[in-house]
Amino acid sequence: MEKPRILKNGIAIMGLVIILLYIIMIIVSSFWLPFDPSEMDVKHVLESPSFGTGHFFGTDEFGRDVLSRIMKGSSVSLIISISATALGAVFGIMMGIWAGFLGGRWDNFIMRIADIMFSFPSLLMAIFVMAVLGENTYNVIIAIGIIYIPQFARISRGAILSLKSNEFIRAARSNGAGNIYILFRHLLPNSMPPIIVQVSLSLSVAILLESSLSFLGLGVQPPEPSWGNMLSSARKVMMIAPWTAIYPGLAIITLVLGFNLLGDGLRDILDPRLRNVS
Amino acid sequence: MGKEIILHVEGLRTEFQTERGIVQAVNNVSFVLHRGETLGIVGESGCGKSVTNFSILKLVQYPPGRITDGTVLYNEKDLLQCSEDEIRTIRGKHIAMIFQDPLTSLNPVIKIWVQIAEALRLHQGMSKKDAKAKAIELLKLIGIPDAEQRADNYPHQFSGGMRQRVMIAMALSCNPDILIADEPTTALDVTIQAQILEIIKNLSQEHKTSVIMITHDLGVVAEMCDAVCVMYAGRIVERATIDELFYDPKHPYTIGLLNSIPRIDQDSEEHLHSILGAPPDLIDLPIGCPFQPRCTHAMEICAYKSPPEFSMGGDESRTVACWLHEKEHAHG
Amino acid sequence: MVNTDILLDVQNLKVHFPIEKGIIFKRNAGWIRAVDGVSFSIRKGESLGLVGESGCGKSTTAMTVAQLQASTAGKVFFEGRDLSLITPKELRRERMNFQIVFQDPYSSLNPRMRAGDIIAEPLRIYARKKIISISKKEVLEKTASLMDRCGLPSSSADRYPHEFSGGQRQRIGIARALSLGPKMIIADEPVSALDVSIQSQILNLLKDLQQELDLTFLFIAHDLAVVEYFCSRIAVMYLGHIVETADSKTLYNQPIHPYTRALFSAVPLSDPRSARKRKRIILEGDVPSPSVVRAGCPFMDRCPDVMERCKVETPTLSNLDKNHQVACFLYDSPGKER
Ligand SMILES: Nc1ncnc2c1ncn2[C@@H]1O[C@H](COP(=O)(O)OP(=O)(O)O)[C@@H](O)[C@H]1O
Ligand SMILES: Nc1ncnc2c1ncn2[C@@H]1O[C@H](COP(=O)(O)OP(=O)(O)O)[C@@H](O)[C@H]1O
Ligand SMILES: [Mg+2]
Ligand SMILES: [Mg+2]
Repeated sequence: MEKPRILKNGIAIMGLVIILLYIIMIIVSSFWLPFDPSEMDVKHVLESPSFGTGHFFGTDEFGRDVLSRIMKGSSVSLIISISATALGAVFGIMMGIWAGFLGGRWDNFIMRIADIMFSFPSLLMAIFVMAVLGENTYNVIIAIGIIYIPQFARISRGAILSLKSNEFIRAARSNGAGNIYILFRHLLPNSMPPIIVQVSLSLSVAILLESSLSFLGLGVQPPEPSWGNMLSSARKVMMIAPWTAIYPGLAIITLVLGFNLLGDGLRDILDPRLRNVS
Repeated sequence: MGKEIILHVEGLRTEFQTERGIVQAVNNVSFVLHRGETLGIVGESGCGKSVTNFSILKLVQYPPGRITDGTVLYNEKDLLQCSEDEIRTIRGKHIAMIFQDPLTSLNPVIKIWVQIAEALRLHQGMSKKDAKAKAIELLKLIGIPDAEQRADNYPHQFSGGMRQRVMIAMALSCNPDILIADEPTTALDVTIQAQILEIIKNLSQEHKTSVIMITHDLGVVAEMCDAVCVMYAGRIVERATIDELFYDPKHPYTIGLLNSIPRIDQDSEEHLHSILGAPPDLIDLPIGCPFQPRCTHAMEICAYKSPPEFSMGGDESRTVACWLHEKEHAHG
Repeated sequence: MVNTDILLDVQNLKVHFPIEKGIIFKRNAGWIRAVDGVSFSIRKGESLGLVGESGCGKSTTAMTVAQLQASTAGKVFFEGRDLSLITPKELRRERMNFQIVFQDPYSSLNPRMRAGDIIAEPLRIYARKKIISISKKEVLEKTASLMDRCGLPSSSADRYPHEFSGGQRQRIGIARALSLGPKMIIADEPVSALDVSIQSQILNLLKDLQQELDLTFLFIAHDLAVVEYFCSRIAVMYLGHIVETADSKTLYNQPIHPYTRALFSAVPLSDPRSARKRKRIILEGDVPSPSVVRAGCPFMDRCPDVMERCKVETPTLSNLDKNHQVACFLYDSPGKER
């Protein structure tokens, strides 16, 4: 058997490895953490990273272990990012395909709605949704998902539109193929590359958005740790205890990088034109 | 013959570095262009016609492209050794080019006359007013109706044929010595093609401009050219005067090509002749003759030794790169 | 009268595309008269060539005949049945009889499907719709034999389109069109995108197939020499109208319509001696836009022989003799007997 194509693509492998490491971390953190992430310890406030104390990433202003909080926060961040992207992708792609495939009035109607949603800056939109729905983890997912809907709608509509004029679609019609068949057999598989790139981008942007919301106090609410609210509370002590900001920051950067690398690699892998070239 | 040589290309090689390997796009190409002559370079797509023509004016992008060898003598100057500044004054002013796609070669947001005038002002230092007058005059020359009004149009308001005529006007505005036309009519319809070819023919005759006509269409060659080079897989496989090529072709590829076009003036009940297979990949060319895998006359030697260009009867302007014609060369 | 010999009959076909303006509230700002009253018929086993310059409505005619484009007016009869009157289900069944070969060997094949699947697709669709019954094994056998017949190595069935050259891709397209055993092939510029040495291979293949399978062709091209070679009869189109039809020899030897004459004389001859000798008719100007409504002959503003009458009346196709029709007042003037 040939090696799966993903293993031949260095970029995708790097992304995949990073994401796998995070997933392992989430699994591990669900039954074991170095310390209780919400246990305060006034004797060990703002301790610098050290092997001696077991606080590898130091402690925060309440004496909580930073590593444990990052580990706990990773599952929150990843769940939010995946669910929000899934939400946005499902509704957005449905809208986009509907608009692109049916064209005419429907297209006009759907895309104008998307335009209106799109015209708000995403963070502002998220803040607005959070303000309306109330501040909790589920609503973060909904807020980010709503931001994504028009983005996915546009991308998938564009892909469908550019494919629709291809002659192989006409060929299929001349062979008696119906709309549903054409959609699933010809249009969707060919519009995957831009959508997959958008998915990987969205996964990483969701992490940033979640962090921003939590940083502003609108997202995941303390004491539950998230990378964003960790950064937010680190703000006050960052100058004397930089590790409280650096490690959550690094966590965000590496996961965002991982998603982007995977997306880039997948785009190449999914393109049959780049296959089997010696 | 005492014809004046205006451009002498010798041993030109251009290659492209790609992920899959090195593409030998132009492989030891030599030819001479005489003053007032129209030279055709003909061959199928991908055989290296455009790259040859870009190489002459050092327009090959590096990376991935690189001119690895050769000289291009124009007025006793080797263009390939020229500095970027020197060659820029030659481009457009002394050697002008027109391309296949008249839409992308014009700037869509600049008025037609301004684009024509730009070339004039750049190379001839004309004032704006003079340049506009000259631009309108040129538009009239190439047969644009209502030239005064149409001069203020933008490219999208012109049809494909009109845009190509504008390109010709721009190319000829500075009375260049050489006009390189790279498939100037491929994107156009036959009746428009006839107009364009007529304009190129008339203007080049009037101004004694030498023309390099690059095309894949043997009909265009027959209508326009005095001499021809046939290219295959980056090499010139046959060179001849126009009549020699059509009435006494020597290279099996040329013969195959001539036989495979449906002739409108001939009865064709039977099959068209066709050349088997497809042109080779320029990345891993066979060591022998590049045409050998498709050739019906292939001999043993063809598989391992690439034929040089044999001149027929000692005539440098009549050559065939084919082992079948080695003897005629020796006798000459 | 029903002529059983006639496979396809097109009567006064019109296809007008709306020009839409406005972003939110679309309004109709006019019509593009892509096909404006075209009539022709094709006998069984015949190949009719449709020539004309780009934009004159050849593809639109073909797509409308193939029922992939709605017509504005006119009728298309296939084997005597009016295709606009049959139910979608019947139409699907009817589609097996007329198949299309497209111009662009790149966009006409789905880049994500393997060659074998592309060729087998029509069979699979019709099997799934229970219009034909064919087993999975038979599909594979049929695909292999089609590939073989069209000159594709059978080992290439699981390669993707990008791994084939332009000519081979066109062979895949031809194999696909043959898979349902059609009676008629609508070929829309099947060789225009190919190099000459490949073009002749494909033309030969199509000609062999025509004889072997007794196919009828509607063959579209802008290259007169190709149409002359391939077709027994030619219809010349200009601006949505057919201006002249005749069998190909007659048309070449005695072109009548001023446009046909100019078209033939514009074709570059691959023969320098006759090229030097002949006097070319060079037409002035460009083809006018099909969206401008005008009275008169479509060719009037480029016609070297234009008369007053041409500017007010539109000539219709009239018989010069049994096999030669022309739409031009020069041959239809009241003083002259036809
Ligand atoms: N930028 C490029 N990168 C890689 N290969 C190139 C590039 N430009 C041209 N080539 C290759 O050089 C060869 C000759 O191309 P070209 O001169 O454009 O052919 P044509 O005869 O059709 O004008 C082709 O095989 C093409 O693939
Ligand atoms: N879907 C469409 N919508 C609007 N205009 C069209 C459409 N398809 C074709 N046209 C127009 O109809 C005319 C005829 O086109 P076409 O049939 O493709 O010409 P040909 O195949 O002869 O080159 C052209 O002016 C073209 O712009
Ligand atoms: Mg080229
Ligand atoms: Mg067309």
